[in-house]
Amino acid sequence: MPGETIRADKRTSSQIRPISSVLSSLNRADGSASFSFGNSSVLCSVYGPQEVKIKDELLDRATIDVNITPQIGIGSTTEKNMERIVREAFSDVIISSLHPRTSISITVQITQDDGSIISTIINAVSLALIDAGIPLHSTLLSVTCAILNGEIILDPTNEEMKDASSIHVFAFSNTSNDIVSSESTGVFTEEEYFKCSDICKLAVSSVLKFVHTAIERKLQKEQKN
Amino acid sequence: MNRELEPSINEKNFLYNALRQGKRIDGRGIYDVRNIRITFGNQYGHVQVQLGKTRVFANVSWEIVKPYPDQPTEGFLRFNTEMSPMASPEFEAEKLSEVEVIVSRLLEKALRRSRAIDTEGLCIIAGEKVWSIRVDIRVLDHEGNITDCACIAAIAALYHFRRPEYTIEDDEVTILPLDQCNPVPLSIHHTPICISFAFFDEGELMVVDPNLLEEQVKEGDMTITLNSHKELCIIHKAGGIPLEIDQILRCTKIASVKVSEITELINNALKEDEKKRE
Repeated sequence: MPGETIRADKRTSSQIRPISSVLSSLNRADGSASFSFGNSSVLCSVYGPQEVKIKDELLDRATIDVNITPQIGIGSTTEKNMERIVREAFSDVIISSLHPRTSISITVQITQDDGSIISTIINAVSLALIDAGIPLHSTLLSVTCAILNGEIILDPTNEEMKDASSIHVFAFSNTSNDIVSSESTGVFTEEEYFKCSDICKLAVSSVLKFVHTAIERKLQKEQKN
Repeated sequence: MNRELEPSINEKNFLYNALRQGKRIDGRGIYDVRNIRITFGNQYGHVQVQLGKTRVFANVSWEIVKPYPDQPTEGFLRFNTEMSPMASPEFEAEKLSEVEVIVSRLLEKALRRSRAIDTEGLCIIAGEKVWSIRVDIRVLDHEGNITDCACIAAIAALYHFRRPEYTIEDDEVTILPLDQCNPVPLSIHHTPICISFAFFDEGELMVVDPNLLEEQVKEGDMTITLNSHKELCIIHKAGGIPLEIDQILRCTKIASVKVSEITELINNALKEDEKKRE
């Protein structure tokens, strides 16, 4: 688009960073996936449905348990907040009523954080759940955008997030047009918010294409073996 | 969280019978260590090590802090070993398991108490500012012998790590940004590597680098930490089957051979990574 600003890493404002992911890299876990947006990368593992502790047992559905560890040190309230976002987003996507009185444990290790980490985590969790064969209503994928100097930029890095006036994380399911999860911080107008949601929706469709290719490739590999 | 499933009697018997014939269930020889793969990340001090299917990730980071008043010229070297719940269903998020305690204590002894890193060289302004180097070790996949894998990851990360350069002007320390001045590696005196052994049949049978099933079935174990100069750093034998002195000496000789091989592997991996960065 003419007149679009070029960012520090030579991207335009509507470009996301190169995506990469590896499925089934862990041996013990039922499902695992690593996902990265450029330099932001996470590794996620899923165990389940498995035995649940009596105190966490739910009689009509599976207990979803999320654990996020940062790159450096032990988790703090930032990580607890991200765990809440992920747990609430996936509690509707996972068909937990199929596995009552069990637990589905999602563990995330942030290997490198360079912005848009919540989106990276949500995408990695989606892929890991698919890898583990957990029944899902749909594929939940996410993209972050930030408003920097009045302009909406997609998939911001840490540098860009520092100076942004607001940051919006959106997660969409591929079966409906609705927003499954939305977390926004900063100062913004209603108009800006809806513009961001439209831009993110478009970007998520390219992430979805990538996810399809990744899963197809994995299935082909499994069929060969 | 699951209690770890005990191996079945069939599996145990199969393992014993194979061992008595000199064969291991994964096809290795008794003295063979599994394939080691060392992958360095984009950032300095970031490494993932795979020992067979066991996977450990180590990350080194820095901070500038005030030293202890009774040791004004000593910097800090801190280790934080965590068994991620993704490594095995037996590990829980915030609960400290026995394995975690044993591995983290062994690593501390191997890397800190053996004085592998020069903590005096971490001093910036005596009594005021010193480097505090933090090594975070996370076990991502448990397929046996976490100790050895974690040790390789930690020492490779410490070798790979670079701390920024700084200037001192009238007690003011300025950290030079990475694009202005190349960061500096840590001063490491020697490379301690842990080699673990497992024993079966009243100490008659021994294997090097036990995998998960061998660890679950073993009757005793021992970890020997040596460096490439054939200097002994640690012998860790906590309980289990009693061993004869000859056996321990034999294990030490085997360990010393393995340690030179592994040290060379780490050095090659570091050289390759340096070439990639140029």
